[in-house]
Amino acid sequence: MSPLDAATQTPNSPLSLEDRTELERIMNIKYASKLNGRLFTITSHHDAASSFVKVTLLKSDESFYYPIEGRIEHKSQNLSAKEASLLLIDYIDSYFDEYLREDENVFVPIDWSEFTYEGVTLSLRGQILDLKSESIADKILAEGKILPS
Amino acid sequence: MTERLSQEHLNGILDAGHRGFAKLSKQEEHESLFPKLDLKAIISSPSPKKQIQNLPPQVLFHSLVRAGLSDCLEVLPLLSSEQFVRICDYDIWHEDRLVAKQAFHWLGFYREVSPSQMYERFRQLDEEYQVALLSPFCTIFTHDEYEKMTEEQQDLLYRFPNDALYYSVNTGDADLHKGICSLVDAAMGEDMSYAMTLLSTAALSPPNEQEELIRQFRNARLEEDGFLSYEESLSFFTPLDPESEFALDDFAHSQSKEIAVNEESQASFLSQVIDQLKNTEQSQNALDAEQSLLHLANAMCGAAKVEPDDLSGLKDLLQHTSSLVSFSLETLSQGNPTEAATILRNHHPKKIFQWGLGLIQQLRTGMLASIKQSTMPTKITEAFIINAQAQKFGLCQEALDRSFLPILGQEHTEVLKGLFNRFPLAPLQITKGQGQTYIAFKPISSLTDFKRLISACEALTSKLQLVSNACREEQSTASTSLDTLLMQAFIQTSLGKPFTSQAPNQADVENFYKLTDLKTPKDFCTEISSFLQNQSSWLSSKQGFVRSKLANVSALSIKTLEECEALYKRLCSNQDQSQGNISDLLDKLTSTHTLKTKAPTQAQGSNV
Repeated sequence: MSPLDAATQTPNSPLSLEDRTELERIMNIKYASKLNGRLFTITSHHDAASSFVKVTLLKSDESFYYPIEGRIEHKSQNLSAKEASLLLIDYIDSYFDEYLREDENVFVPIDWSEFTYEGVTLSLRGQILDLKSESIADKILAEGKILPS
Repeated sequence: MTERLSQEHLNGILDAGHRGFAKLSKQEEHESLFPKLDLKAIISSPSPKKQIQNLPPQVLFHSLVRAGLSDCLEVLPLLSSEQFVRICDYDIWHEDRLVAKQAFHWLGFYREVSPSQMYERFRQLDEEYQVALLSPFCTIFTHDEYEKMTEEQQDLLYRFPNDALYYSVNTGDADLHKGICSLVDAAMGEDMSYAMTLLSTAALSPPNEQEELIRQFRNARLEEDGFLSYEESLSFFTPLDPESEFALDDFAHSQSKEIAVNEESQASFLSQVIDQLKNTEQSQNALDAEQSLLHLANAMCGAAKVEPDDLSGLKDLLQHTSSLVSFSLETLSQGNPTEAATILRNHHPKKIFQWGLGLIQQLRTGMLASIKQSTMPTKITEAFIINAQAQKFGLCQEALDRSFLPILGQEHTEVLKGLFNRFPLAPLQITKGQGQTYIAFKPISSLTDFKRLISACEALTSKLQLVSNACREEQSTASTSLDTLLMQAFIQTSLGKPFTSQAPNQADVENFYKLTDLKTPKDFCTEISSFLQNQSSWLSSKQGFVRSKLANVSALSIKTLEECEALYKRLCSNQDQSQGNISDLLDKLTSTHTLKTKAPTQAQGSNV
């Protein structure tokens, strides 16, 4: 788990659980026609200087797992942590809008990259993963049975 | 909350009617309406320019985008000026505002061909387009003004030869900045006088004036493809009365007979009709029909909030409109493709679409009547009925999600969501691997779909009426879920009381346990819930009959749970048998008051 992953799991979220649940509900309805059984989840976290958000599009078995992580240095840009988090979610939502509209052929960089949105500088990264297969592969490697005996 | 994820924004999306629903993964693509052009083959042909310029602009545009502009550099110079202007009309606007960056995205590919191509294409646009694209980003300065600037300010300016004029490009977008500079350079290389006039006019033009002018020209051109304003587009959703002149004059017979439905066919009925037109030396009629259907989908774009460049959205609309047209044709022609071809040839698809909507509207009206008479809170139902009658589908969807769901449960709510959607949908329960189920929606494209929707609506109506009977004298149950109310009514009946949904008190519960071997209330609730879930479609098919029988049963006050359970079991086990058998069974039950002595066992209970 990356430091950011660990960070976004902490309960120190600028958004209440109700806020996140409502945002997830709206995203899941908004893109329902393109989800094919997948759903969105949102986690958020902030520290004194930065806000982090992770919006993940995933299948329940995690064979498709696409987290888009966003980060804003909110303090240096005179934003509250909540404002920064909502701005990030807004921007990530606009990305997913394009991603789903363009037959899932539009991607954000794997490594952190800077973007500007409504005059605010933010960073994004994302990568499509197949956690189910990775888990199976880890299990096989752990058992040491790579080749048939 | 965020702007893009507000309830208001969501209501707008739900009102559009084509995005907020999980769809079946396999949907007909209607490829014939959006042919995939083999652009490479066209380029290799003897007269590629002629072929390209004969293509409808909309088809050409979507083909270019799908192929990728960078792979179409050989095609781009062959476009006619009219085609290029139309492509700009489709692609460089967003929500009725000009998006300069997108225009320079296209021009950038022309620049890759050659700077003169970029210049020529830009100059082929209407003058209003040219000025509107540059006006917000360009400022010009005279030599005197330049001299008064600091060195830093001067460094930001670009100059014309001989210092005749200076200009700045005012945008933080690097791509747009580069695009404008490239264009001005290309224009200077081809026609210096034009370049200076263009920049001067753009810089001195009042803000938004040229954009407003070109917006009007663009709307007029888009109307030729069928694209309409929001208000005009809404008129396409006015249902045509199925009993109207249109139907009575031409197709009255179709209402009087049971129509044979070919449930095996994979292709939609509409596809069969179009194929028939193609195969019977009526290929021009087939092309006309396809073009009319495409125009119909284009016309829906305004109401469905789909931009002309949104291929995915346009495909969705094509799917919805073609589906309802297919359903209407199948109904009107009694499933006869030849007769359907005649109808399609003689009538505009808009009218056929509206006729299908008329049938759906009848179903909606019936459902609204049931909702009005139900025990649900008046505040909720009245607002819903008003919004449904006003075709405010977004507000209807929100009310269903927020207010109806806790009362009706997911399955019934999904039925209503499909019915009260701008494009009517039939819900289907999909089972995937490992027994996972979810509800997906399918456009109403055939009589089979329509009957499925009717059946689901009747199941809900039956339940609403049952609960209504059970709650006649109770006001406090309005927001309790239907299933809970029914469960309570069945418990009351099993205790020898009338069929009312009064919640059982402690004494009732103790008596109820004595009558049963059930250890916990959950056992019984689970059984009844299971019964109710499994019986929706069956209830629907036998609704009037079962209602009357259950009324008799409640009046006779069956005294033991055994008898009540036996009724459930027999109803369940006989659901596939004829109505006569069930009638005999119920008559027998209601005509004998003999109490059986043996209490039901746990095992028997679990069979329910």
